[in-house]
Amino acid sequence: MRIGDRSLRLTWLLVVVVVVGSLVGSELAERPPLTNADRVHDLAGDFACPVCQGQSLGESDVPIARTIRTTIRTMVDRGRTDAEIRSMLVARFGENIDYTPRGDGLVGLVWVLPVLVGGTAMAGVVLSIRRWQGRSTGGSAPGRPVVLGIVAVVVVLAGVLVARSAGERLAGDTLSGDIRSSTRTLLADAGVASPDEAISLYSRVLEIQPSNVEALAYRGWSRWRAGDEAHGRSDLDEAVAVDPTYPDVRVFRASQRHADGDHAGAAEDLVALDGLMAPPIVGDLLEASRLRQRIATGLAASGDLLVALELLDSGLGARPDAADLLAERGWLLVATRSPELVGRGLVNLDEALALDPLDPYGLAYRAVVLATVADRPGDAAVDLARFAGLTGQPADLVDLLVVVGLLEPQPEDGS
Amino acid sequence: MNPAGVNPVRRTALAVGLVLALLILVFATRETSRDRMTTHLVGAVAPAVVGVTLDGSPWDLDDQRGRWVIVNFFSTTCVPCIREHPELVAFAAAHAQADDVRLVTVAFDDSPSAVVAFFAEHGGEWPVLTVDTGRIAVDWGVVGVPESYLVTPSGHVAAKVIGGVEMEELDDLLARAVAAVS
Amino acid sequence: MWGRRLNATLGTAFVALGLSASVAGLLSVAWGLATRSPVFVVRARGWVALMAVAAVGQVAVMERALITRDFTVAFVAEHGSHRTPALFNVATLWSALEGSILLWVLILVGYVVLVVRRFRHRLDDPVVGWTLLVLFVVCTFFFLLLAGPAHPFARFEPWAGYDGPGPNPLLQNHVLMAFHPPVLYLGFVGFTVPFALAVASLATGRLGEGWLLEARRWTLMAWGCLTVGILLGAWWSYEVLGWGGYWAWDPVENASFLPWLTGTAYLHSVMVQERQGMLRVWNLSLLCATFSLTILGTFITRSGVLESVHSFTESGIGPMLLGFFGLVVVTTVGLIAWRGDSMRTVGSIESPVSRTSAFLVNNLLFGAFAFVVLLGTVFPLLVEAANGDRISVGNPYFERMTMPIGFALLFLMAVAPALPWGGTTGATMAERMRWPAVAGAASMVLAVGLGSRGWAPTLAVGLAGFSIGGAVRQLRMAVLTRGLRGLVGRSSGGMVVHIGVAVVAVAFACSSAFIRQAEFRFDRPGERAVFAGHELVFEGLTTVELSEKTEIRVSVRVDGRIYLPAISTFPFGGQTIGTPATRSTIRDDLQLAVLAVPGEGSTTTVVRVTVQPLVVWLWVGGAVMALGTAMAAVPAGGGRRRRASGEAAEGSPEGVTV
Repeated sequence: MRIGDRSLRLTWLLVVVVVVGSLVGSELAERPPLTNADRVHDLAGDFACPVCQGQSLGESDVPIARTIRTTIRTMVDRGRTDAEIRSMLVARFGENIDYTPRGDGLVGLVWVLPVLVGGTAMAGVVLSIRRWQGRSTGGSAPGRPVVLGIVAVVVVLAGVLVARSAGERLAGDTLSGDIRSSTRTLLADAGVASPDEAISLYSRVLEIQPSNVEALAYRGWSRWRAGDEAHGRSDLDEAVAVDPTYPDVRVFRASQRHADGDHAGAAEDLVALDGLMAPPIVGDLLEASRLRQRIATGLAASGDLLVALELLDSGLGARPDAADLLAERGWLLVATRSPELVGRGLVNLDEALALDPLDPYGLAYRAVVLATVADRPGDAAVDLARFAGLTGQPADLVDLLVVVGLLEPQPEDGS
Repeated sequence: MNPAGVNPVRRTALAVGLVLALLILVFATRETSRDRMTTHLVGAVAPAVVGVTLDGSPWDLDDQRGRWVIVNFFSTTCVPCIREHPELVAFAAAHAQADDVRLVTVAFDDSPSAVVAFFAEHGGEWPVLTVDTGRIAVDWGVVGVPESYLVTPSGHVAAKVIGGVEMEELDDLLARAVAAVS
Repeated sequence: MWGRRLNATLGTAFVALGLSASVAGLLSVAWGLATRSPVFVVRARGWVALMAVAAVGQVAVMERALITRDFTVAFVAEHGSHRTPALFNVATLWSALEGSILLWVLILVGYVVLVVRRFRHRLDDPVVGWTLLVLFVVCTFFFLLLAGPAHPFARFEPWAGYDGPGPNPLLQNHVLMAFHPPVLYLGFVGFTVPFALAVASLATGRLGEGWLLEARRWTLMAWGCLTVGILLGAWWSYEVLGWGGYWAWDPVENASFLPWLTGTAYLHSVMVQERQGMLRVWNLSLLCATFSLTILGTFITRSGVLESVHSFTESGIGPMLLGFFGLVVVTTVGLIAWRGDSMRTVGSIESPVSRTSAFLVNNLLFGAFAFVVLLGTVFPLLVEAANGDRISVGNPYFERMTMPIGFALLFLMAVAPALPWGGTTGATMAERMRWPAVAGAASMVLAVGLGSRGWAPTLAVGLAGFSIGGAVRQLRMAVLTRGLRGLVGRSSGGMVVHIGVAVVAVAFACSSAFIRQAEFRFDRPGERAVFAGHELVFEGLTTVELSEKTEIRVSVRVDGRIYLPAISTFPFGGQTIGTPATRSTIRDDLQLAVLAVPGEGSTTTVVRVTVQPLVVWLWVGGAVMALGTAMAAVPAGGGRRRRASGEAAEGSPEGVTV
């Protein structure tokens, strides 16, 4: 063995050792710590600015880009992973904000095709070299299709592998961690779902956040209406216990208590509600269902007129121009048949109709009072006429008028 | 020189030509104007809108459940926003009595004092959020002003309008959305 | 002095003259070729002269209009301004679409003049005739653009006191605006000539050695200009955008890069053709592909189908450019399908470990590179056409896909020059590559010692060191055998270009891998910050009123010297543009960009600082590449040519047809 050979071999050995050592060393050696700002910079470069022509989020200085960078910075500071941030951005702005194409589906082709074409071309070059080297074509012809087949399979697999690893995504439909957003979405969706679905959605919310009053209240209400009265009741009570200032549950529990016959408890809840700031949906629900009036009627029927009046007054305190409440108040007073109270009741009815001349309850009640107790059939007829002219007359009022004799009984026509 | 009938050059050339012809076809059928109407928010739950109004009171979209809400993104430096403002004022006035739809403006990338001055001069009594609105804009995916969203009483986004709105348009949108829900 | 509207009228006249001359020339040459009467081809010289007059004239008229701010010309009214400094008005010509076509035509006609002059003694040769025909067709097309959708001399009625908006503020009136487009166009347009020669070869079926050499020379010149043009563009973006980015895999940038890739493939692959007569049809295809890609690139830049911060504003020339691209593709594919097979020669390789094989692999790698770049650029359009989804393909994709190809090319660059044509053994190669390998290993150690972390940049440095070692070895051998004269000529020039490429590769890898960026908020002068080994001191703000803009300059002292990044407001259109300040040293670049200045509600100045190592070496590497190209263009002396013609398997200049 000549000296030249050995020194050559040694040199190459040294080269290999140094190369491998440098690569390993560069990976393992201590790097200057990557700050959050660096991470934000890297991330911003991987996403497009939604409004600019062709600039990345990092390059662009338009307001929306700066805002999104701030959001990324906040998420990075909170410890979110790159995949979570990517999901958030894609969910907000669409798939085309992401500069890295997905690895699956039609889009995944962009990863697969170059590997495919490159691998095939490489195989072609190798085959050409072998052919041009003068090897007999006869010898390799039987083997050639097999080789090509193997190459094709390998290349396709490699392409798919590249696509998978490069275009990896988190299933990014819900943001975990930010409790308010995730429960909020579930709650809103439950609001428009079918009753069974709604109950399961609320239960999911309660798994994430066991003390969520909204979920408790609405689940209680849904359960109660679905017939699961015991659980419904307990949910509602728990909701009130957790947060006495939550308005919605008061309406639900009042309705539930009223159905159970506990008018005093129901009145309590409504009075408590009047002291809170409720969203419009609550007020709408109360008005439409006439819950307060029914509770008041129930109270009066069981002898607690004072409490009933308190209940109605409490409602009037929150809504001074509630003609329907005034009308009910007047009716309850009139129903006592005590002359002084009847007089005051009539005043209430007049006030109610002054506020809303077309309130059906006011018209009907006053017509009855005028016709029976006050003995002013003429005025009663006026009110009756107006009542008859209304579209959509409440059935209970029609029954009342028929019973009193002011209206002819109508044939059952299903209206 | 070649086996009879096999002309690999011709085959390759024609294959390449075919691919290029397809590419030209794709290029020829692309439109150049960028379509920015990302409608992925419509039908989804409306993202949070929380803030402090011009007079200091807190405002939260979730407190408006039961009412339709129009969320309007705005800036005093944007000409179409200025042009649509009287329409919004008229719309708000028309629906004030019935209170069936509420309006909120989110001022985006603007100085609070400019917004205050603008509303003082041009009218508009509805809640206006000015502070920390960047987060809201990102959550809603707003890329430019003006943009308006119609939110259902249950808290979902019913419609999105890019560009300035007119009162008629809003009324029409509202009517259709109400009809669709009920 | 000049009457009103004289500029517009004169300019339009020149356009008409140019169009007529190119059509007349086209017809004349076509007739001459069809009837085999060379006299018509010779007469085309006159038409070329007329075209030259027209091209120069129209540019001169437009420049005059720009410099005198003649707003009766619509182009000047839209892009000129009294506020723009006088010198930049000259460069405003190519800052917008119509003017850029004027520049293109000027350079194209210039090349045609050069071609006619070069072949003045061979005008009766059908190959020359076909070349001229193709050139006339291309000229006609571009003159048609000028006469039609891109008409620069449309009229305008300025009102009293009218002042134009000036060129796009994003262009910043930076000095590089004066150089980048002309050099880039010298590159783009330059590829028209080898394309014409390739079509002529295919049409006549002749591929003699003389034409091969011609095509190679023209390609080299165009390629050199394109290289410099691309790097100037990268430099300009870097200086102007302020984000530390110089290459964003943006559609327009990719469009300029694609012809460079196929051109480089050609310059290497043609050596195999010279040596062994193989790959003829492949090389012709490469030339055709290069030219087609320049037209495609022009289309992408000007049609608006792909968004880019570099594109011109949309206009109506998109369909015409696409149509011309289609015509070129059909012609090329048709010719190759018709003639290609008859021009093939059977290849032969003696050993897989030979320079021939290396060049084959080289073709493969450049082809794959071009495929990846093209696919990534047009893929969003394809997906949108298929199912309407809008996606983006950007930096992460291109980096990941081109990195392995880049590494492979660096390795090949090192090894291939030392490979003999005929084949060799591994032992011989181990001996030859010994010192380059040591150089590569040493550079890796050096890199790690200087702070390189991560296998990718370290490997890139190692491979680059290996390449430079290989190139130096070749240069050393050339000097040893031929003295200093050995330093010029194709192979040595090529080695110098390889060194330049290796330097650019190192700079690219290190600056992208080790970039650091941060934003700093300053409230009061005197506040300091430390970042990435540099100390910054905020010194204050000054507001400067210039004729075309209002500039707020932020004074920052970096390691002792003051730098003035600024933010400018342009009154017309209210745009706010940042002007970054860059501190370049051999080791790293520090770039300062102003993000926010004190305004309503805040007294904070926000400055973004970007630190990247080795950026200067990008431009240095580019200069080395340009130097190498110049060295390669110098003929290496008679000896080599004689040897080449003796050994060539090309046959006689008349070519071989079967």
